[in-house]
Amino acid sequence: MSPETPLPPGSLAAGAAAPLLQVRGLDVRFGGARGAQWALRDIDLDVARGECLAVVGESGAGKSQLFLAAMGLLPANGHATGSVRYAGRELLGLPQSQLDRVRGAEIGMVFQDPLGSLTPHRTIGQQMTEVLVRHQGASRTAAHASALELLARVRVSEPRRRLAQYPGELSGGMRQRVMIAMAISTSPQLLIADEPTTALDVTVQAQILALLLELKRERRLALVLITHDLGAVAGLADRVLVLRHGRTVESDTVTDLLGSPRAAYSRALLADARALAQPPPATLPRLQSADAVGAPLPAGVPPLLEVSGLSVRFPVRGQGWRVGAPQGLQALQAIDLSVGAGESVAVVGESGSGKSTLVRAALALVPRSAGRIVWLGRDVGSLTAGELQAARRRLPIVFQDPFGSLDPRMTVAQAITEPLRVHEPALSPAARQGRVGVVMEALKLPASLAARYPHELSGGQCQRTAIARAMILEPQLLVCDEPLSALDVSTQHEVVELLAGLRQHSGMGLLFVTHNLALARRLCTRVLVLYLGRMLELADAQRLFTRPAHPYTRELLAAIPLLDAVLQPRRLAQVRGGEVPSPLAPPSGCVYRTRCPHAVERCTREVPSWEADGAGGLVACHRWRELPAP
Amino acid sequence: MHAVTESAPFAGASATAWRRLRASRAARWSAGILGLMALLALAGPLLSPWSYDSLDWQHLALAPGSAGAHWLGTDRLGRDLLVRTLHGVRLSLWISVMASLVSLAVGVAWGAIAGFSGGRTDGWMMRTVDVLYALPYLFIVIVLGTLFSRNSLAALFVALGAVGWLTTARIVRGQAAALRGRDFVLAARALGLTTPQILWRHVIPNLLGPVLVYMLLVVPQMILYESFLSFLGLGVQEPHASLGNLILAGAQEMESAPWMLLVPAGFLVVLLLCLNTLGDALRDAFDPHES
Amino acid sequence: MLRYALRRLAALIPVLLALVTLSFAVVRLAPGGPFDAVQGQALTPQVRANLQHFYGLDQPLPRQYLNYLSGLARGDFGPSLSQRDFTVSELLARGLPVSLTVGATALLLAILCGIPAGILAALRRGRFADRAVSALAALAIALPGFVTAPLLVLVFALHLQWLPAAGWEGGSLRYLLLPALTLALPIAAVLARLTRTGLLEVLSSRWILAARARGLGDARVLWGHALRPALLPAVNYLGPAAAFAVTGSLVVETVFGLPGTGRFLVQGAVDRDYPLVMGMVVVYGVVTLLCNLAADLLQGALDPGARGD
Ligand code: SF4
Repeated sequence: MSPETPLPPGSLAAGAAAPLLQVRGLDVRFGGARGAQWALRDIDLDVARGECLAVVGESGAGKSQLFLAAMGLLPANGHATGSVRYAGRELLGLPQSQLDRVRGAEIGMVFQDPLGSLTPHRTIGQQMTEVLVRHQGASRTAAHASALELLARVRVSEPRRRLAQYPGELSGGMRQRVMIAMAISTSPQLLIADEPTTALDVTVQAQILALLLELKRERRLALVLITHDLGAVAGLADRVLVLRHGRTVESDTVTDLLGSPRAAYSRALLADARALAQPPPATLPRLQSADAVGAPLPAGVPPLLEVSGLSVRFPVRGQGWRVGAPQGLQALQAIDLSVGAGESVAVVGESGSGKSTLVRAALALVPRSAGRIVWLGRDVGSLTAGELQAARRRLPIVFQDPFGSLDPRMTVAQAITEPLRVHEPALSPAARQGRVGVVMEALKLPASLAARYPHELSGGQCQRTAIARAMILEPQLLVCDEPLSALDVSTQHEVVELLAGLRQHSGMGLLFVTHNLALARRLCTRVLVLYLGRMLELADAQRLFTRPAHPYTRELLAAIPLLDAVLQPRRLAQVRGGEVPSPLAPPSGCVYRTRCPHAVERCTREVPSWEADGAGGLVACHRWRELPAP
Repeated sequence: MHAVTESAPFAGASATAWRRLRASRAARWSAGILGLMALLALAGPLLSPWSYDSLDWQHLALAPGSAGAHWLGTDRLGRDLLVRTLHGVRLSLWISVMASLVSLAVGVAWGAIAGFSGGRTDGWMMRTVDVLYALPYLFIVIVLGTLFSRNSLAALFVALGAVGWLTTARIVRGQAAALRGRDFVLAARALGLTTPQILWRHVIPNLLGPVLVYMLLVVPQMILYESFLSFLGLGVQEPHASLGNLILAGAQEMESAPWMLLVPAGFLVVLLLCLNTLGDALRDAFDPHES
Repeated sequence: MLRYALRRLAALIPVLLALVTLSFAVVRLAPGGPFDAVQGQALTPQVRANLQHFYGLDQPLPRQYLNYLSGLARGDFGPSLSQRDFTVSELLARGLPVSLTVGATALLLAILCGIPAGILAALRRGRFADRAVSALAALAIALPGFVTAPLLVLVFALHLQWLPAAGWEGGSLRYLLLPALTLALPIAAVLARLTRTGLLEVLSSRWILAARARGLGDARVLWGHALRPALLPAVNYLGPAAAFAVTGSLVVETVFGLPGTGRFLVQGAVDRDYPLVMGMVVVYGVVTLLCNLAADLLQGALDPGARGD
């Protein structure tokens, strides 16, 4: 870790060093003078060289608008007033031609969603050299050479090949690295990163943040990190600006903000973030004791859901029509999992791990290529279509996209009643209405929402409606497929508490799919770790989080940010690289070996078997016994 | 609560769309003009002393405005041009609405089945549409229009509908296929709804909106095809008037009596313009991408 | 790319076969026949039987179908039944160049007017130029060719007397202009609309914001980053547009008295001249399919990034 010399907090405001970027009294509004909507009011901020300022807030706080305004990139109906000074020069009102010599040359910008932010029809090389040619007057060959160097610097694998590729051909993490390489290619002094890790996998998020931290230290960059993720703030920021509804709520050093936030809103944000990262409170009864995990359930009580040898293959069509033999994508390979009565099991993994496919196949929503599925003691293969439909009421599922999983033409009340109409058609309207009322109350949905349509609801309200629709049939197992990842942190917290409460109340089982290990820990007693459609580890949550056995589980755990401004930068500095291989061509032997720091020759040859860990869990790794304690 | 909410499958998203539609000045004007034209087409001939085929030998090829009785002039045979044009508008509207219904019925069924079943069925059904697409639409209309008996309106509906259903089928198929992949359809399946239940409760209501909007864009197409056929002498035959054969007659006389061309042409263009504008506005209002 | 194009070309053969079969069925299953009347005179059964035998129409239908196919494979469209001194190939060889010239000129005209107009409208969104382009486009779309054509004749030929009202004269520009303009107007209007919406959508995308944030300058952002994907919908429409321009020649040929192929379609259908109608369908079908294929390939070339996903 290179030594860092953070500027003493507060010194900037006192004028000890002239800030590189200075914003004073910035107002941003949209629309004409009449009926204008204020996106930002009276914002002040400073960023000095070698310093990272994090701008934090939930969606709609105006944090992105702030820097679009500063860079003169607001849409045509947006107006910014106030002052934005960069290196002593006023940027607001600067003519476009002069602004174009600042943007990209002296100030680099990295956006969220790197697929959408790279021009799809031009190669990486064309886009990178274009910037160098424009701002540095470099020759094409020189620009090409620097582009190659930069890609290597941001640790893109096979940089030479990447230059000729189109953005659509790269993985999400790689695209973000390319964006960063492009932004730093002209050696700017200020780098603005707008939600640079959103929609990336946890391990990739950590890699990107680590890269930004390195660059900041190496080049004494002034860095602005726009984010809603306090974990990213802890790892990177020196100072923090908290925005809410377009106004500054708090401006503080990162240690103070994470240690003793002054504003009530910051305290709430922090409390939500911490609560999500904590293990469940001790008051929550453990319905399943740790030693029974993985062991067969007591005789006579059938598990709610049991799958054995479950495999799913998706046909992959080659380009064109009927060209070549149909390839298959092995989405899931021989999964065994059972969820006992009242138990809560998490399935975790990154994108491409097959976690959503697993629950969908287990609920017979996608066809399986092999394996047996048992619901409540009955083999699904032996059920008639009618029996299958009737059985589904006991195992409903809640999906990720809060808006997409509700029929846009049905009101909240209609959506929630629908399962009743199908499964209990004899129910009188009054009784039905009564049941809806009860469920809505349990999910804290005010009765006034009953007649609303999905597009009139917030994401959290939609998701609670979807849960209510599942709960109205008094299910025995609730399946949740990433139900929280589209929500803000405070809403996430709210829904998690609701789910925990519902579980405690009704004693139903929970099968919870997530990429967020902290959430798994908060809600579940047992965790299954998937990677490229294979099971790597299945263990009691307590054991998994304190003594992870599989190297991949360890990497996942290390990627969970700590809300600690001292520890988190050190952890970031130790993050390892590595990309998930294509599921079309999974590595031989152990699928994790391309990223595993402990891989040996045997790992390329032999598929590790599913070994009992002695504590009721199972691990698929040749070397888990020899590994040093984490 | 149920009584209100369940009887209005189009409320909600549609309410916003209607508000947006009413906010559009072009849409309001188009709707107004269309309403007026439809009213005139229906009631107009009743108000005039002449009928579409009555001859006025005193006033042959009369220019508009020159004799009080014939506001928009007469043709070579002394037939009142306004009455004939309104008669044409009525016939054109009637034929095109019927043809649109034919094409919608076939297109919606075809597209919905293909889209919702997916896989091979979908593939073959849509390949069929592709092949038919390669046939020049004119060919289908002309061949069907000439090969079946000349003066039958039913043949005209079939000929026009046979062309129109292709695009409808493609659009509906796209919608249905998209719906099939939507989470709420999957959620309905996970809740134990049967396929007919899902189709009836979730797919069809969500399909209906776009289809009805599209219908408004099919009608002007059909008017165009119909009047074109009549222009070629293959559609509506004398003494009946359609906008197409009026324009044909007008084009032949345009040197000496330009109004015979300009009057029906003007009506046709205004009709098409209003229908297109209204259809576009409706589509934009329902389009979730627009904000 | 070349191999891909050839493969796509080969894939058209079954489509074409289906097309021929289908139209053969439609044409032959319709009531009536070519020798019901010649020059308005009913023929005696004996004469009709002789004629039918001469043209092989007395053979069973499947046999006739196979005969037709084998002729087609040799490039022989058969004799015309209504213009008995000519073969269908001769008729097509005379008419097709005219139709293709008019169609191609119209398409070129439409591209040259429509696309720049669409770009202009998008760049000046909400201002006068945008409103003017949108209004003109709406009007042009609502103006069918059989209205435009007589109106153009009325104004430019009869009133202003700048251009001839009808005729071909070997396709000199003066004779070509009005027919091509008639066909070009609606195509140009659709192209302008598609270009406008396409460009507006692309300009509001994140990658354009990112390109501007890199300080590339407006011109560079427009030409280098926005235009290519913005033109995709318009390019996609070029296939149907080309087919429309070639087949739409029917109207302009009628109004402007051009010696093209359009009239064969109506005439052939009315006279039940089976080989002529079939010949027209095959030729027009091939033109349509080729136009669509060309537009498809052009689109692939414009959007290489799409192949990645
Ligand atoms: S089997 Fe080998 S490669 Fe796989 S996790 Fe264990 S040590 Fe790593």
